[in-house]
Amino acid sequence: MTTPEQALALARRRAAERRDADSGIEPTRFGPPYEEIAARLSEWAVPDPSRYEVRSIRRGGAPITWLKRLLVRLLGQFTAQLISDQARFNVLLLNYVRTLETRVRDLEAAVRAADVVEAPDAAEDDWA
Amino acid sequence: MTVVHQLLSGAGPHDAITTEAGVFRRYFADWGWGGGDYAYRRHPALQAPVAPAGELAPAPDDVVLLHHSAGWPDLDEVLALPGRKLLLYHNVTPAGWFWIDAPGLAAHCQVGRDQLGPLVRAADATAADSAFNAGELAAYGAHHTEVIHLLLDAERLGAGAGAGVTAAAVATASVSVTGEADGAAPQVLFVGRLSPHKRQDEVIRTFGLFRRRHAPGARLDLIGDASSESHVERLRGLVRDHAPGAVRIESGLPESELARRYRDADLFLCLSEHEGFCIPLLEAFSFGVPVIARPFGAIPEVSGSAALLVPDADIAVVAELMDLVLTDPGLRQELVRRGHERLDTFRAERIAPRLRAAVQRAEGGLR
Repeated sequence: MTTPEQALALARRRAAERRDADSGIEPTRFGPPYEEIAARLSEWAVPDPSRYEVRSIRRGGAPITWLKRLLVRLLGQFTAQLISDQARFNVLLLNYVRTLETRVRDLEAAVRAADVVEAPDAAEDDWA
Repeated sequence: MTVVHQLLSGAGPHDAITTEAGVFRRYFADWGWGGGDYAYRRHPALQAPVAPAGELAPAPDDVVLLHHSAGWPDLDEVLALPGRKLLLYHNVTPAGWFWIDAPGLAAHCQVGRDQLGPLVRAADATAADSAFNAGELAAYGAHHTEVIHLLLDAERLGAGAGAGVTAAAVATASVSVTGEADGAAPQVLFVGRLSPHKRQDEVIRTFGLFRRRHAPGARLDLIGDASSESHVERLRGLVRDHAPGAVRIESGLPESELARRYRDADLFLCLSEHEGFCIPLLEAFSFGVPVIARPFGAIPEVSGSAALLVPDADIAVVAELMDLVLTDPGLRQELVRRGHERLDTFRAERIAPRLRAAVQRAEGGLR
């Protein structure tokens, strides 16, 4: 019998023995998906609400869903203006932050190159 | 007379925090204490006697127990309440897990975390579900946090969750089972919100590998409410890629059915990366189901040595561990026995005195 304390080591050995067969299996990436979040910021900067979410989940809510979607459609010109104003601000702000990020990176590189002081490690990418 | 009011940001019929508040209220009544329960958002189907938060009017000597599990709609109003404040921290999942599929929830979690500092500073005493949660509070300046573990409501899942069944499971673990030996395909289970930090995506990938390698007939049940439809769609896509036709993803099961799933399970596989407590581990123990889990958050604290904890990023290791548990009757029996023993740590008789101590600490204003 394997004890619980022995089990993990045994599982690791068995997995190692099968390593060739396991090639191509991606290891688990731990932690929140910060890279994907960063990559999708531009996409999210432009609001694009789904009409599907405008609905009623009550019993017999179909007419209410229809009414809600009609209102969304009637207000379309107004909400389009709001969305475009908000998108302008979001995208420009994002561009500005990215510019600052590039400048900080360049400055850190310059400091390291000049060997004036040891630059601190980059902050962990957990801002989100 | 001691008066304890409980304030929740939201209350619902199947919400664990609402359930716990109800259990606490019964304790308070048994101890001859007064007070009422209040919430900012109340689900229309809520049966429990929880009044709107606006009706809460504590006296200066009353204790207001703040159940903190999400952002408060109006923190200033909460902090301005008269009375002694006892902050009970149930943990708030880091927002980073939710930005992709549930941005509203992510923002709510962010607010909940940002409110921790002011809440800790305003509290006369602090408490938490686990030492892990207490550690998070300490980072915000809480000096002495009483750990009040979540109570396993054995009645909730019916007779199957009783110690008698667990004892039976211990006795038969060495001869029953799993694998293909007795003709039954192994049944793997995970219960928990269908949410990115619970890593059902990894459970599906790992199960798919295990199934290909060791048990082609194996089946997996993932049970929990969805944090977002798009996340569940993503999980369904993974199922199509890794274990088509072998995985059920379900929400809103009645408790009798949930109990049946635990009874039918041969293994509980939890790859969650953030848990403030993780009551399903205790449920699995109580049904005599061996557990494999990640050693994150409060999981090591809850499981003790009763679960196999696997930190490896290599899912092949997890798959081999699954095979070991399902094919080694001695290992399985030992895990079931330890799980049964572990439940003793979380008995109500052990937890109630801590609740009482936390309230008295708040009354005394000692931190």
